[in-house]
Amino acid sequence: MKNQSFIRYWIVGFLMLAFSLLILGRVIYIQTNPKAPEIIKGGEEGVITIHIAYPERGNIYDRWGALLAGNMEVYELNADLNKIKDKEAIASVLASVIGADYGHLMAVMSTPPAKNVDYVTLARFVPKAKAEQIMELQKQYAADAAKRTSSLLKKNDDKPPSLFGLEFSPMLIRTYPEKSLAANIIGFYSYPEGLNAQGYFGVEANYDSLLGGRPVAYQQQNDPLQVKFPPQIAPGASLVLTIDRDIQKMAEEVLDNSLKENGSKGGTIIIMDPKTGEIMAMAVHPRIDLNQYWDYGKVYSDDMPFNRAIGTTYEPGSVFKVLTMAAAFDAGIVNPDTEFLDTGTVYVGGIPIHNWDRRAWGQQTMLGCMQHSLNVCLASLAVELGPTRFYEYLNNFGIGHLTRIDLAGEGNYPMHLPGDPFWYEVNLGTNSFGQGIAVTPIQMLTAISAVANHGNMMAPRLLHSVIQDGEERAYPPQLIGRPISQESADTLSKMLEASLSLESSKALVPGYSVAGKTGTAEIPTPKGYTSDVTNASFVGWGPVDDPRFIVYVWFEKPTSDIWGSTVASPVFKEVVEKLVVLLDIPPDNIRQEFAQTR
Amino acid sequence: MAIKNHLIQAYKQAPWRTATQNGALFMIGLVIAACVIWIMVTVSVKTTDAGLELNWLVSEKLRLNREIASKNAQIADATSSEQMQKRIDGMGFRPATPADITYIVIDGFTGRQPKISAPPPQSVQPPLLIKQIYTQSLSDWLWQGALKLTEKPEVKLP
Repeated sequence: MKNQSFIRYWIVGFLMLAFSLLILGRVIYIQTNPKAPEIIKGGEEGVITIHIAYPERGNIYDRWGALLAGNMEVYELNADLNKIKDKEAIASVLASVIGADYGHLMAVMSTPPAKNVDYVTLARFVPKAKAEQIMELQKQYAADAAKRTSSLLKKNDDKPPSLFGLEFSPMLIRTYPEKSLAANIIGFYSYPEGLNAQGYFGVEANYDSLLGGRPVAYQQQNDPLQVKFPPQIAPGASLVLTIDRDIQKMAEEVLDNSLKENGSKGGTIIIMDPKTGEIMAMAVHPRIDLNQYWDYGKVYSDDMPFNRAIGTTYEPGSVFKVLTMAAAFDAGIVNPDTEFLDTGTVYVGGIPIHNWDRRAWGQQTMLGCMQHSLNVCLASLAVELGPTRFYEYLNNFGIGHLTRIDLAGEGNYPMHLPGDPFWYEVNLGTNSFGQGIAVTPIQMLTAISAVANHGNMMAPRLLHSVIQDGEERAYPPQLIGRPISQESADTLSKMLEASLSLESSKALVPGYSVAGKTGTAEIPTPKGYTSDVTNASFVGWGPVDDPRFIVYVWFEKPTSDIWGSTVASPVFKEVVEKLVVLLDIPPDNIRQEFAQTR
Repeated sequence: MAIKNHLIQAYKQAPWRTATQNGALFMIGLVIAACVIWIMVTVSVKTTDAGLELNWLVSEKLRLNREIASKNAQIADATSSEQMQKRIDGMGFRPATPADITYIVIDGFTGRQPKISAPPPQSVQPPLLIKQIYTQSLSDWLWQGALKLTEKPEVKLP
């Protein structure tokens, strides 16, 4: 009995020892196996993965929070060549769901681009809904296959379809919900370029690094025991622009309709708050759907700037007279009632300068000079100012300089000054009425906004605020100069208001006081001003006593009529009639009544 | 003394008692070792589970960020000026003209306000306040403890 008990102990002890020896033997076998270093190396390689995390690109909003540029989830569909079982099924499903080319997919899966490649991309930027549809099919096929495997009805020749090995990689791409609206302001982000993607034109290019944030490289531990929090990757900053989506839409509609009516080659309408320099709308033709920005080359040809409002320089014509008259007022050489005898011709540098109609308008005041847009009068004022003072004023108005508006692609044509090889004395005369000098629409608008804003010239800008790190930081308006005194500016404003009223301009808006000036500029050819084509423009602002907007309208080569007064002025009126509703600006009498009751 | 002698005598008379005692001691050791292993395995499993959950949470956070971005884009699509114009046309509205509008003064009305809310700031990870003893493995703890025993004690200067 006692011996039997000892035998049991010995048996148990022996079994435990044998089990321990087996484990020890296995450990020794694994450690001394020739493949051990390879297995260990493979394990170590898989433990740490280097990742580069790209922050989510910041959104772009209009001033009221309407999304103009955001991000959307899409999928990249890849095939793991070591796993796929049914190429035909994968190609067939992708062809039917996303319209991919069946033959191309089969070729890609059958003949990978290089040796040792076991992962190929079948489709990129597949919409989420479509990808989810394919995922569902993948699950369904897998379930069907599992049923068949366990089913007694399984037949050897009946091979079920399988999407095994098809993998889905989610990613964000740029999307523009408003399509072509404000396209020239926003620009686009070239997301299909992957790591080389960048912003092009407009805000996307100008604030590319701010929107894009800072990519962060980090090590990801795949060993669950070593896992650490990945670094916090702040998304790119979101931008709130000064533009108002409704005003932008209105301006674009008016522009597009006007272009159809007047047959212009191109045009632009810019609406700005002269007190702050905030651009409320910048309508340009042509525009593209930013969601299909790759059509850029089809729309923009012959080196046409993406945003003509800031990139195209042209001779502005008579709207420039506002600056000449402002300089004359500010220099004190004339006032609105100063008389001028217009003889129809004035010689500057020995070259005769005529009025637009080649008529002599006789005795005029400065008001008459602007009302009838008399070249002779304005050229005489420039001569009286002298080149030094005249060009100093233009320089102070920013002519010949970039406005530094926060958009990529701003153009500038340097102003020819006395002493330059291309400056002649006659330039002083022609420059006074906007000939022989080139500006961009935004330069012209910025300069004349100083007249509307009591002599203060504000920096034109698109950026209202930046949303970053949970805070919204507003960017205050910036004063960039006081080219003329408040008195000169206000006097000129009132004079231009009277000028429009007296000529019964088509720019007049019932109930609202507006001041402005038309412009018709012949487009020079290599032989001089010999063509019939013009640049027709109008600049106006209101209400004159408390300006809330300044609008610049420019049409290039209109065919229905060549004159700014008939082509651009009615467009200004149409814009302002809609603008005052969108901006909640009451008619002058009601506004003044409210002001008195308060 | 008498009891001690009795015990010695008892063991001498029945040697299986010694074997039983040895077996019991071995079993106690085994149970203790099993407990230690159980603790180690449990801690390792929980750590692994937490690690896996952390990885999942990170990927879930990324997924939710993508989802939020997509939803925002969908809302923007649904409320884009083109879609709103279709609804406006469908409902028979037309743009107001200055003649349609009656202006009244409302005290305290500050005008239209933007509808943008800044997202919350990225959470800043606070420095770890957990003592090392709670984060290190049992083997690390034992090893470091053994190392400390071999360290020379600090000599305090008078």
